[in-house]
Formats: sequence, C-alpha cells, structure tokens
Amino acid sequence: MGATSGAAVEAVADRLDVDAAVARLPDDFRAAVVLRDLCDLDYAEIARVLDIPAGTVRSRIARGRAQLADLLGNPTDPDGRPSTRP
Amino acid sequence: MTAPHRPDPDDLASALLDGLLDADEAEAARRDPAVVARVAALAAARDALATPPPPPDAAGRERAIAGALAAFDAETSATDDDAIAADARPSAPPRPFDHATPLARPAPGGAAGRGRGRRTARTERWVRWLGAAAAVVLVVAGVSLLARGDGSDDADTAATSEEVSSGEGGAGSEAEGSADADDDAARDEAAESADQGAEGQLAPGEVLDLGAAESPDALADRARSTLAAERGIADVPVTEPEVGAAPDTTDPVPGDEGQGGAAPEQMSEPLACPTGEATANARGGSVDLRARARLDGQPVEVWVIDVAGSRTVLAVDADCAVILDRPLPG
Repeated sequence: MGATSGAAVEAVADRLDVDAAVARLPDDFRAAVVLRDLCDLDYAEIARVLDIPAGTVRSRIARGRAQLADLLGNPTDPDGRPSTRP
Repeated sequence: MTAPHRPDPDDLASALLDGLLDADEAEAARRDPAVVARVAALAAARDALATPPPPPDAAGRERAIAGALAAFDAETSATDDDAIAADARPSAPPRPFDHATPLARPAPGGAAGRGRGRRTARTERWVRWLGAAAAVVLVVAGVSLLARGDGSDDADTAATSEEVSSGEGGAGSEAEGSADADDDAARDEAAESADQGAEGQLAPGEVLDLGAAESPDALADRARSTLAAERGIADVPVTEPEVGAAPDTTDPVPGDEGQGGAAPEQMSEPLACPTGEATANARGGSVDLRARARLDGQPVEVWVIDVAGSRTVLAVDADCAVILDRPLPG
C-alpha cells in the first residue's frame, strides 16, 4: 500500500514538473508541441490550425521538444552543447 | 567554397520520432550518435507530455479523499477552541496519503475518527449558538410584552389602587407579579367595577328595577337605598326600609343583598320617558340612577338627579307625567 501511494505521489509530482516545463516554452513552440504530442494532430492539421507552413511546424515541434527535454533534465547532447535554444 | 550542410540533430531526431524521414534519411540518422542520443531525450519528453498520470484505484481515491477532508477539518477547526486544535495538531507534518483512512471503513481513532470528533464539536458549537439565539429572542419578546403591559394596564393599576384604598384590593395587588395574575386581577377588577359602578356614574342606558312601592315616600326611600347600595356613593345614607313599605315577596329588595335579598334587576330596555335627562339638563345636573318601579301597582319610571351634590328623586307615570319630584331623603 505504501509503495502504491508513493508511486502515485511521484506520478503527480512528475506531471506537475511536465506542466511547469511546458509552461516555460515559448508560445509558438508550446502550441506546436501540445498539438502534436498531447492532442495527437498530424503536421498538416497543425499547419492548418496554426496557419503556418508545414516546414515551420516541423521546426517548431523539433525545437519545442528539445527545450522540453532540457527543461525536464534530459541533457543528452553528447557534444555538451548548450541546451537552451531560442 | 562552403562547408557541407549538417542537419540539426534535434530536427532529425524529432522527424525520426514522427516517421517523417524516408528510409535513406532514417538510416543515415540512426548512424549519427548525436541524433540517436537526441531521439532518446525527445522521446522521453514526448512520452512525459503525452502520458497522463495513472488514476488511483478506488481504495487510493478514498484514502486521498479522507486525507483531504482530514486536512480541511484540521485547517478550519484549528482556531475554534484549544481542545479541537490539540486534537487536530499532528505530531508530524501531515503527508497527503499516509494518514488517510478509507471512507468505507474508518478506523477508530484514525483520521475519520478525528473527523467525527470535530463534527461533534461543530454540532456542539451550533447548539451553543442556537441556545444563545433563542435566549436573545426570549429576552426581546419578554421586553416587548412587558412594554406592552405597561402601556395597557394603567386602568388596571388605577382600579387596583382603588381596591387597596377601599380594603378590597389585596388579592389584586398580590397578583401583579405575573402576566397571568395580571389578567386574573384585571378580570376580577372588571367584575367588581361592573358591580360597583365608577364613583356613582351611571352606565349609559343602565336601568334598574326598584320593585314595588306603596307610596311616594317608600319609592323615594327605595331609590335612595338602591343608589347607596348599587352605586357605592358614600354620602347617600343607607337606612332600613320603612315599616309598611316593604316590597312584596316577588320583587327584589334593594339594599338587602347581605340579608338574602336579590339585587335589583338590571334592565336592558331603556326608559320610555325622557323626563329625567331633560330635567337634569335643565337644572345643570346629571342622572345618578335610572330605574323602573311600581307605585300602587302602576308602572313608573324613576331618576335620581344630582345637581351640585344635591340629589333629587324624580318619578313619572306611564304618561310621562311627573308624580314625584323631591329631594332624596336622608
């Protein structure tokens, strides 16, 4: 019972961390990432919703995911380059 | 000469995650260690965002609710009183789930037990509040009743004073202690007032029956006795009935109530002749007594008129002709 409760607490805490990290993303990146990974829209739908080119959608999703990974403590860049991106 | 373009590892990793690369591009991306590392990081971020936390099971939900209720009770009742605050104060910082108790089967003395104790304490506080409110309502109602009683019992108080001065108001004075006693005294005083009149003032339209008299003198004596007995006028002497002027046994004898006689009958029908009132007005006096009687077997109407303290007995026959007009004897 205690282990189950601890896991639940940890899951809630993780979710709070994810929400805080998403809130720190720039608006353009956040919108693209949320529509893709949370709302499960494809690139064409995101382009239509945000009224931007599909290439821009791809770029914003890639940059948004990278910033989110850095904010969540996953600096796995093997080159050791700075994790913050514009 | 320009350097060959090197794609961004994050862009390639993100595209690889979403399956946007064709086979050659994907094969090339998988050979790049930087891209492979970023794929793992971006996949972890994507999964963290896309995966909601697992919902707790039913027991866990009950424990969470019980814990939240316990924490809320402790928060709200901490400042109410010292006993409740001591009960609500945990020995260690509260943890969201560890001290929670299932709602279905609360453990005695656990969070739910403490919750019951706090609910009982809240009930007691409500009872105290309701008691205080009821006391306030009773006080306000009592004050208003007393105020109303002070305003409406002036006549009662005056009547009681009269009774005390005449030696008959002891019971009325003692009855002033409560509202019920006041009501009883008021009824008693009203009855006595009806019996005695108010200082000789005749009630409007009140007509007495003096019975039969054999002579004008006897009629005058009957009027005097009746006035003295029924109106309580101190300056009208009460004398024994004249010998030979005793009324017949079928008629009430005024002034003989204490000896077993009947009181003069009050008659609701007004007198037929206006002679008494007209005479009183003409002489500047007032009517102290109105009555009917029989004089030598004939019906007569009788008045006692008070003019500046001097009383006159006036009688008329059935035709309103004056047959008696003399000072009240005695």
